[in-house]
Amino acid sequence: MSQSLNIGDRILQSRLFLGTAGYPSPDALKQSIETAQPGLITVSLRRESKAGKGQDFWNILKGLGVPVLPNTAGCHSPNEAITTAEMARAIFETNWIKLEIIGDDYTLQPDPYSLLDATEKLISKGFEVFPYMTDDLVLAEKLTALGCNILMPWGAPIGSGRGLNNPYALKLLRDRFPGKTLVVDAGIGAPSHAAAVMEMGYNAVLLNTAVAKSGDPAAMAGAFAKSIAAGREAYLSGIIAPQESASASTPLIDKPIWHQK
Amino acid sequence: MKVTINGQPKIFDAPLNLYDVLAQEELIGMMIAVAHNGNVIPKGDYTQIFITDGDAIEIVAPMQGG
Repeated sequence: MSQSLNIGDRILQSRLFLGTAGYPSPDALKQSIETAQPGLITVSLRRESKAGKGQDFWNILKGLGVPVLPNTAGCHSPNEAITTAEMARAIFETNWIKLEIIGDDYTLQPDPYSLLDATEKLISKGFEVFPYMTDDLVLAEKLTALGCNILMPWGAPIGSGRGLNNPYALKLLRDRFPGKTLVVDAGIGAPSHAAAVMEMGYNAVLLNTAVAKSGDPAAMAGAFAKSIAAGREAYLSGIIAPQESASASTPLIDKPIWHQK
Repeated sequence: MKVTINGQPKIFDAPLNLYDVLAQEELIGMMIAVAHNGNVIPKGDYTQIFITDGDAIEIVAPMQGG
């Protein structure tokens, strides 16, 4: 079954989107990407000096051949996010941007009002916006009305590893936006969380901390890749609906005489 | 003249264009993006941007991100 995912004019070979932050070493990051073969990797932008730390990081990534999704992490206003997106487009030569505007520093909850404002402006500038958002249905409707092809609701707060705080809301988004690319972004802790997302019919999962802070990042990256592929395959195969009563799986015809009453 | 680079004031001799600033910062050929007074400048335009006293330049590079 197909695991590829079309976004714009690109075909991604995996539905795992992997963040690049917080790994114990550059080698651990590289091995995690090589093991999981994610469909894309996320990166950010930071001020550069003569020290050139950013160049060392980029040298690791550029040889791996994985598409890059730059983010606007750390931005708290639409103007900051728009400037960051424009700099990301200049540096990575892509119109993709993961739009992240934080509204609350404790939960890192995205600010829905700033998100809408910046989304409208970035789409008018030709960006393909990947909005990091809460699981709010009305916000999703407004983002799609602005022209978003992709929605990225959180599963739980960034880095929390809690999994899916509100499966009902996530299922509702899937049901209400059948033609949109839906990605759960943030809060994933275990591969089973990611599989559950894919079994709902989501198109991809974006995660970082669950791999980077695990005991063995490369092995965990591989585990997530498998769970996401399994969840996708299960969704396409048609998962049975749960029922209240038991239903014998073993055929009852021609059973032995001592079972008959 | 005084130019602010990534929030830090620095002194340069005029005349100066953006390419000259990046050269002095040893960043030519690096994977960077540059904003001059809030405007993102395409790589091919660095020599066209002339720097004046009080200008602000932001220089960014790829970093780890989630």
